Amino acid sequence: MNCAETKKYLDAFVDGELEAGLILEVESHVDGCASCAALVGLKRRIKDELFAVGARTTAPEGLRLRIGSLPAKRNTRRLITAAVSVPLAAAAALLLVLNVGKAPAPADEPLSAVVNDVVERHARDLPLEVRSADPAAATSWFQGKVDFPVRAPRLKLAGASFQGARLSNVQSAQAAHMAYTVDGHRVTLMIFPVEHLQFQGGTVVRSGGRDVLLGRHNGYNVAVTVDGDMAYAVSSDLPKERLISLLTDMSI
Amino acid sequence: MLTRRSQAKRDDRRKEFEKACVEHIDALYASALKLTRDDVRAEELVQDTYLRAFRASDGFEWGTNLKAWLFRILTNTFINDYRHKIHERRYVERAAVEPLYDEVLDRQAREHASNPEAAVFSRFFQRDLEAALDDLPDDFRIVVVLADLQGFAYKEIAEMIGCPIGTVMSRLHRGRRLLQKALVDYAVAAGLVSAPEAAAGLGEAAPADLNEFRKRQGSGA
Repeated sequence: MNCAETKKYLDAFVDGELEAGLILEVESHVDGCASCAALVGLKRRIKDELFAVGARTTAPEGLRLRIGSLPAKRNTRRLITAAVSVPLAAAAALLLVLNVGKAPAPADEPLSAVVNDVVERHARDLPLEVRSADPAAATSWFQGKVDFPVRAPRLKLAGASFQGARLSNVQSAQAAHMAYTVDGHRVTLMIFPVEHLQFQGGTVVRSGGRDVLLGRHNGYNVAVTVDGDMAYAVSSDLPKERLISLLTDMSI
Repeated sequence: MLTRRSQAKRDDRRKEFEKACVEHIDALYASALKLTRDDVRAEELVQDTYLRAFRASDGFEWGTNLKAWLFRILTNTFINDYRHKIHERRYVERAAVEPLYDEVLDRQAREHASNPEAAVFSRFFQRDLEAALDDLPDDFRIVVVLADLQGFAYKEIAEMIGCPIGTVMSRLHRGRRLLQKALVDYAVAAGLVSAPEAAAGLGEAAPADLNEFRKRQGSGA
């Protein structure tokens, strides 16, 4: 076997996938050929180093917890929802308490992990798992997939249309990710249990009978409101005034 | 009563199944990280994989390889939902020059027959290799991750990505050649391989002055 022939088999050789007859032929060539021996050495080293990369990587604890609780959540959905439900008054108080005595943060300063997460999800324009112009289709798609009741809101804002939805997360909480477009701008709405709403600083405005928290990160605006046990966080490159009216006008 | 007992039995089996699935989370995450090249997207990919696996648990046959089954879901979720199509274009440009790098490797190997790797590659081999892996087109990166990070057999990989074993072998071969080529590039940049020689292999003009400068630096001048 010459070099050219040998080289065709070197990958299978280092992978241990070469048939027995050929192993001997490759070995006998490589033993007497510095060039092929060097190539085998390099291929083995690449393989070993990559295996080491795989072996030393561990999953983040947050992910492990989320995955570990997926099955339990599905089986005992109602119980868990009941146990964690936050009374409406407490949810409203949370918004107010967090804002007391804090100056509004300058624009583009990350307000909290929630704002960052919401912007992150919005900016990536991830593929949707359910596509429909009808929010009701997403509402039924989410049944049994998250441990809280999801209803895809219909936006009353002129020029708004529903695109679809996907499963997502905000910090360690499951979230329902709804995608809309408003006058050609992508708008992402994340719905997640209010217990995960952790804001520091920020601005609260009162509009249409709702408290709306405002944030901004990486050039995207974020507006958050609470309805019952659920937080609704919307992100887009639209001006914040439009995000506020979008939240106050939506029918949940 | 009978139904309740069989329901309880089914629940037990499902719990057992889900627990067995979670044991592979580190391997799935390590591969997702290399596939997506982004820790947030890697977490999403793993979470999507588990959601799909748990939903499709009836489709798993006990006694078959659970890890391979999970990786099939991971790989397909990545291919369908996460990959960037834009990377595919770069591969054509690179494939045109890759055989020439073999010659560079060859010549270096002949010259440094006693300890070729030490002579050719920088001490940042691990870092360089990971950067080179990140740079691979998706099709090649997928098979390298499955074969080398996870050690799956060609046959298993072929089943996971739904293509013939021959395709797996050729993608693996070409992916590794691109890795080798990138490692030569890094070695040239680090001044460990002479640039005129690498450039001769490429048929390009050598950045001679830069190389001279590096040589002088290397000799402590």
